[in-house]
Amino acid sequence: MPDFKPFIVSGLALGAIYSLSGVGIVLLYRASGVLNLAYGAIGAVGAFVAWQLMQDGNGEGLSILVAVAAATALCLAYGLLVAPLLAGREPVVQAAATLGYALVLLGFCLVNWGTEPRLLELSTTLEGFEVFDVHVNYTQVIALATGLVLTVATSIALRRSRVGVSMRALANDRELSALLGVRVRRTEAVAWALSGVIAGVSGVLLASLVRLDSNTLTFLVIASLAAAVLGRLRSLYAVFAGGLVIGVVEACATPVSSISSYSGMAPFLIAIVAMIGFDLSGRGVEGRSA
Amino acid sequence: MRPAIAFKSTLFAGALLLAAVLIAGCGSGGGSGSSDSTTALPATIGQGAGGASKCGLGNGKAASGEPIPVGAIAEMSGGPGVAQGTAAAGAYFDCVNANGGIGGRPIKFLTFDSAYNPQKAAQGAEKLIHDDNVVAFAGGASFLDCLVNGQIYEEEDVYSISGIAGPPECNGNSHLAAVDNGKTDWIGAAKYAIDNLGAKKLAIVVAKAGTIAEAVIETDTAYAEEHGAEVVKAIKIDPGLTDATSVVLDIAAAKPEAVIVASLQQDALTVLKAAQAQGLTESPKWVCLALCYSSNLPELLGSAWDGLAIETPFPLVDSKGADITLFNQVMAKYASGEPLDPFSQGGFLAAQIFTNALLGMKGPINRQTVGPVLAGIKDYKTEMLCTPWSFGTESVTAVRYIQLSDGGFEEAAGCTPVLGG
Repeated sequence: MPDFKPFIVSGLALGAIYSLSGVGIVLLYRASGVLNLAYGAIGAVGAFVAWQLMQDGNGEGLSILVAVAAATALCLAYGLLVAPLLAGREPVVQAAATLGYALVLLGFCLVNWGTEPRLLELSTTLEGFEVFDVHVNYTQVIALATGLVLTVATSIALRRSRVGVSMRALANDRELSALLGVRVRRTEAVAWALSGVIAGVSGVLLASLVRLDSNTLTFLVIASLAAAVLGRLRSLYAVFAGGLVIGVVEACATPVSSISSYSGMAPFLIAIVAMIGFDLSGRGVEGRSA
Repeated sequence: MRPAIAFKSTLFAGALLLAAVLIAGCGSGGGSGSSDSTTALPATIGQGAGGASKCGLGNGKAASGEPIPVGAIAEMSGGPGVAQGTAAAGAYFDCVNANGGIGGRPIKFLTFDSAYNPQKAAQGAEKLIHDDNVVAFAGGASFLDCLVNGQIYEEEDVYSISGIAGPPECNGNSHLAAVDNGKTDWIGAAKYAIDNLGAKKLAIVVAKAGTIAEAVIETDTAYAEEHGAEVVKAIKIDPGLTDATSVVLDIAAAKPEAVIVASLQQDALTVLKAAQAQGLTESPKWVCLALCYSSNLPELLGSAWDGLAIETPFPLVDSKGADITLFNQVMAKYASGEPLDPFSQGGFLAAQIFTNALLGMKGPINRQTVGPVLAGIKDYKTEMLCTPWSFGTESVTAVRYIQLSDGGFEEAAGCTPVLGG
């Protein structure tokens, strides 16, 4: 029997990545009704912008700030220019459109920055501490803390702030909300901009923790969707916890030789089991209310 | 502020930021960044100037006759980043065309992007063979090509000299050849760990890629047992690995004395950085296959990894020699911005061997005449390889070893026979 303690620690660090991304995806979904599959690609562009600026001799703080601004701009551009055109279409059509945007951004990254190996090393990645003989760096701690803070803050904001209530109303029924006086485009702009900020922060953190690679960052969103499914695309707390569970299961599968080769499938297997469970319990995957 | 004004302001700010992103991206200059050669370029590249070999005839006259179509399939988008091999082959053919071509006829180099998609790889072969009527394939950089198209090449009687080694299934195909040999690379890494690092307990980290992962593990396990060592851990990782920490923790738990990393650059880098974070740079020792080489690896890994060994069939990029000098000159002039690494060296060499074979031909040059000439290449001598090369998939039998040192590379061990030695 392997000693799982180091792998649980490693898994929590990995799970923090899934949690952070999952929370960002569900936030926009709850606010706009759009499942943004370009979330990872937007974060990837942000990460590459940060890397480029740091390569050019700019400070880490400024580079990250511009990277987040760039991701926000990309998200906002889609949210203002494309998303409204599809607002009346089925959710799956809206999601598929964001996948197209993801591929455009992925191509942009590949053309501009290629596939050559790169590192985005934040100063917080170079320092850390030991837990059960595992070195944990501060970027991992920041990712975990950011995910937790976002979860709590967003949940409160969606319930109690005026703009949060407007977002939830829009997500439920766009046209009815407009008739009731919700400023549709402004509210959507805020939602997309917030999502862009989170995507930018996530992109920079993930690039530092996992790798600065446009393909990996773009498609990491798929694994993060598993966390979103565990939260039934509704409960941010459940998404956060789900991401951590997935990370721990994936890490703990690594030292078990009979299933080690399949550890990367953990997010998808867990999501499938969860969907079957939700279905059998009659609750379905998608939550009905915010 | 009124809502309409607020909305317009938001839109304007968004547009400005988007423009900033595009400018930042476009300013990256392609991003390769690591291939800027410092080689001083003589005005007469390809004519043997500066101690270099010649490109083809090396007469400095541009070829202007009827083009000779030559094909190549490469993973230019998607999948592993090895397309620089085909770019290097194209660069060499450009140099040949600027130096008399093949008896005055330029080589028309037609490439096809497989996008790491078997269907596209097959479409590419069909197009190049039937629509473009290529006389042969040379300088390809695709891990899929031989696997998907090997049978097509035999059926259509088209020959290929690839710049990179294919999976084990490709061995024995009468129409395929490569200037590298996977088996030699795999055993070469294990040999270095056992002979040079004194390791008796080995671990292997290998990327899942078709049957290659199993072949690497089986081959190195058998080699280790034959040489008084054992493989105590073998881990197959997914390309795009996200949880490298768990992988290195699992390796550490097996207490190996050396770890062989058999994955492409970015995966290898991810594993090595995770190992560094866990304090595993000194013990165990680490050995990489040429797959994980990238010219910016010393910069990315830093001094903590000085001494990290990499096996490669090719000489150091900045070493002395007529062929490697020509390689640097050609890449600087015709493929500036492409990485200088074993993949580009492989593509260059494949194109060079192909060109020299065609230069020795008399009479018409077409698919029917080129095939037997390529198949008949035997004991081709080149400084780029340790031993003479013959047409086939297992011709390369020796490797060199380089290691990271002071932010660059240095030779760790010269030509070392691996197979049959």
